[in-house]
Amino acid sequence: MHAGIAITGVSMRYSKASDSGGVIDINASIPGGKFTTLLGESGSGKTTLLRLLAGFLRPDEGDIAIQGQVVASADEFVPTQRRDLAMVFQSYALWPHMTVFENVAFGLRARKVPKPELRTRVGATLDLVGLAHLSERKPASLSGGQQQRVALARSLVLEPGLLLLDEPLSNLDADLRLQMRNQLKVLQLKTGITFVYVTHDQEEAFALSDHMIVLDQGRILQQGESSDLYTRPSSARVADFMGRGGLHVDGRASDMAGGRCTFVGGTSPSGPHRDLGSFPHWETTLVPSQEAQLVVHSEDLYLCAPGQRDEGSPTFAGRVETVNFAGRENHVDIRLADGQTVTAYEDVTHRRKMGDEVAVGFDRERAWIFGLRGADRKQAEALDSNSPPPLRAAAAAGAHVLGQRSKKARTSDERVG
Amino acid sequence: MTLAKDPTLTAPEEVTSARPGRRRVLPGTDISVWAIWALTVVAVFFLVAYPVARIVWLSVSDARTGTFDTSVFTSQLSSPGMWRAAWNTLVMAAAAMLVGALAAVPMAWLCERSNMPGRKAVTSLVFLTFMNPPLLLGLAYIMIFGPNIGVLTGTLSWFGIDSTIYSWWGLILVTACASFAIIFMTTSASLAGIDGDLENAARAHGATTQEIAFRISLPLVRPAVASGCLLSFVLALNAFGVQALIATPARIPLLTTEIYSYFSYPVQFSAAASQAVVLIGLSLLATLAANAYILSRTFPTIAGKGAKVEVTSLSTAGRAIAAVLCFAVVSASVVVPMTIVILSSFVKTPGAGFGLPNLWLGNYRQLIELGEVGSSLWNSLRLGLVAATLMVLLALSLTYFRRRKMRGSRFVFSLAEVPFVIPGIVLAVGFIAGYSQRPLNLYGTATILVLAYVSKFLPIATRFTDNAQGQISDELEEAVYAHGGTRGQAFRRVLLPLMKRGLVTAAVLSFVFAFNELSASILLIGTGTQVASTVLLHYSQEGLVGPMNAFAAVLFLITALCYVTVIAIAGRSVVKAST
Repeated sequence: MHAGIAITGVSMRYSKASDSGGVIDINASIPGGKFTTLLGESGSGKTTLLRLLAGFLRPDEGDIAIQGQVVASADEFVPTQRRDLAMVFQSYALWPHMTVFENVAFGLRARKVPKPELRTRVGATLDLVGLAHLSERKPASLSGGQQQRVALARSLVLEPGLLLLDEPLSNLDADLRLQMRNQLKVLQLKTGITFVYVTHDQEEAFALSDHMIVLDQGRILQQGESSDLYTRPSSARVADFMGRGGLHVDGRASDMAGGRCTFVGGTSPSGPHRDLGSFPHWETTLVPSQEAQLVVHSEDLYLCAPGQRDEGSPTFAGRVETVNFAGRENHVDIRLADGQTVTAYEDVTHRRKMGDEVAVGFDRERAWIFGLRGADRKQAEALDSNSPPPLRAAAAAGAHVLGQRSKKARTSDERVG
Repeated sequence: MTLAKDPTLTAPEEVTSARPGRRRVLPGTDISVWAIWALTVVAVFFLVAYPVARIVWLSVSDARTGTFDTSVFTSQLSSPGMWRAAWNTLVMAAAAMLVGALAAVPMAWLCERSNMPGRKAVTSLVFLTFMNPPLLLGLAYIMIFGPNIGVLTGTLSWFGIDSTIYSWWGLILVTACASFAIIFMTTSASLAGIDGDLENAARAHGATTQEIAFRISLPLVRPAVASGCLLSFVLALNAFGVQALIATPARIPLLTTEIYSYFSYPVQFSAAASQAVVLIGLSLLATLAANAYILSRTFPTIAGKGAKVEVTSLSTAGRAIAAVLCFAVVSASVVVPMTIVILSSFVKTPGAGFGLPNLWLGNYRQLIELGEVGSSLWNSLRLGLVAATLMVLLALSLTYFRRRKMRGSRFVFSLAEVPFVIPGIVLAVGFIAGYSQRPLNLYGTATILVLAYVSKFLPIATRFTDNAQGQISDELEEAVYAHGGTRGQAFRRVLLPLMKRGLVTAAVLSFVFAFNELSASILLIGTGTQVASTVLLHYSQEGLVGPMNAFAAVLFLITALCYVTVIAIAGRSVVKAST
């Protein structure tokens, strides 16, 4: 039986300053034997949460139980080495003075596994990751991908109840990333070990995980099965996080009945409001006439000629800002009338130019309506009033942009988060 | 050395993740870990806090009755002689520091940023200067510019100088030679740490080499230069060998030599302590000034391993001039004096030249016949070894706990660095004050020497252990715990093997400094605990020129041997690591 984890009311701050990072009041359960991802931007607290699970940090409040055993609480603390876990570090943290074999054998030696068994198990694990032929090499003479697999082998050989992975793929180049990603998934399925995986890359998260916990500013935004999170985000923030930004329309919802509602809105609070039609919605907190926001992912937007009024869907007029050729599709940035910039993906056969008038449309069934709660509203207002329009788009693109930008600063930034 | 904390000195090689303000959880912290920490705290207390506190108390108490009595202190403070000595000391150290900085900063720039030939040789020789004891330098300069026997004394009159080495210029020149190396070392470490792109950016925006040097590089290394200057100021105060050999015959009273004279019969403890307090005040003032300067001019932007720096191509003439000047400096600070020391050890009649008929081995025979050489060398050797071992262990513990953010570790760590800015002779007064009464009467024993050495040179050892640990990322240790390893296993199987080089380097350097130590030893030796440096000083004061020269040559060879060992183990980068 592999370890499920229960996290109850866990808080941990690095210092008293309110913006010092850490996590606040985390309640989560991580299913045993599954692949769970902690997803968030840098500074969201995902790495802190992982380090709390590992036992490198001690919570200020709350309990953590791994497979029913409390490992951290107000009066109990089980140190890392007694938690039956293993960890793959972002930097791999291979011991540079030991050979590949010695690195992988370390944990077994610490557990006093007899020599013959140790040899077989290390050999088998190195075979599993395809590195048996390099067992006498030192880590420094290996490529990034090979080091990554040594780090993985070092953890897997212990057959731990729980495997923690801290952005293990972030130092690899794109091709290798994809390859290792698949291998990770296969290994998890094969071994049935509980994987807890930290990443800021939502694509990676979807590709890998059964279960997902989305964090933002030290709090959990949403948790659940990955497919649910994509199709049914609980807030505009999560929706932004799941996709690659997209269209945001402020307005009001009304006529809730049978899981549908009518949404009235313009592209800005002050702009002319119009009835955009009937949308599906499932959020129980949404009340009639409450301020609400409509969100559509970029991948669900399409472009059409201006003025062309599609029967099935509302459209918004705008002007093409940039067209980026990205291989099998074009990424088209459109500046809408209210100033927000949205990105749409389009077949390369379309030839749009900068300054072209276009309209952005979408399928109503693929849009979400969220009630604006206090925090969301504040954020929306801040974006409206403080940021020049292009920045707003960048902020909406959220995870992706931030993820790219923070890569270099990660060693210092990311660990805090 | 955190007293003159300069982030640029340590930042470039740090790989430790900075987790703000949070005490690291110490997994598996059990009683043995606490015991080691407690032992460390106690050691630092008895090595630093207690002796320093005793000096201050001694200065304001009656040495015989042990009651509060400020009469000696106030009479000292109102004595013009004391103020003259204090002023002389300040002038000597400050002038040597200035001369040293004028030579060291351009040299560091040339060695780090230009294609001057012989950069590596210059860097290595500066480091040898750093390890070489000032006493030997003093002896050598007397052989060069001293009255009667001086090889070059005659040439001085060509330049219209009718004084000998026994003068203000002699004192400042030799002190500068003995103390400038540290400025070179801090400056070049800081230059090496600057992200090359900062200079490249200036170049890309049309700046000339000169503008880059004066408007980008030098402003960025100012904090490092300042902390190097402070350390050189302190080393100048510490060069007791030079002061005893040159200032005393030149009739320049200094606080250090005055303190020494209070210990000849009749011993005046309180007067010595009062002057020691004034000397601490001088160091403290220098430290505060340096810190104020450094804090106001430290830029956080230069940490990080960025692009490679562009080396400035000098013209052929420029390269030649630069090389000649740099080699002139290291010639003056180590090459010529030490050559003279070695040659003189074979000279029969001093002052009669180095011709073959004037050479013999008689000096060495006389040295052996005097009989003290064996026991004093043995004393220096074993005290040095014991002290070095203790220093490294203590330094290891201090850095281990500080890097794991143990409660109070930062304070204890800083406390352990205090002795570096306290002149050795003052430290010795503290140890005498603290450990010459029951129940801790250690005066005249080997133990008190070892303790003083550990106290005085611990900051050098911690610099190396700290550096060695700073290069091991936290994750390497966490990976041990994350794979079931214990704290002991993490230490033995990961930290220790990875720190080996740094530790051995620390040990050898600690040893050589302890081995050659004079300024504290001079007050702390007993009849059975003569050490090499005190015997050498004694020979020179007694005018035993032949054996003195032979002994000086022996001490230099031992120092050079340690130097070669350090370079072999740690490579030339040790020059930058030791700041």
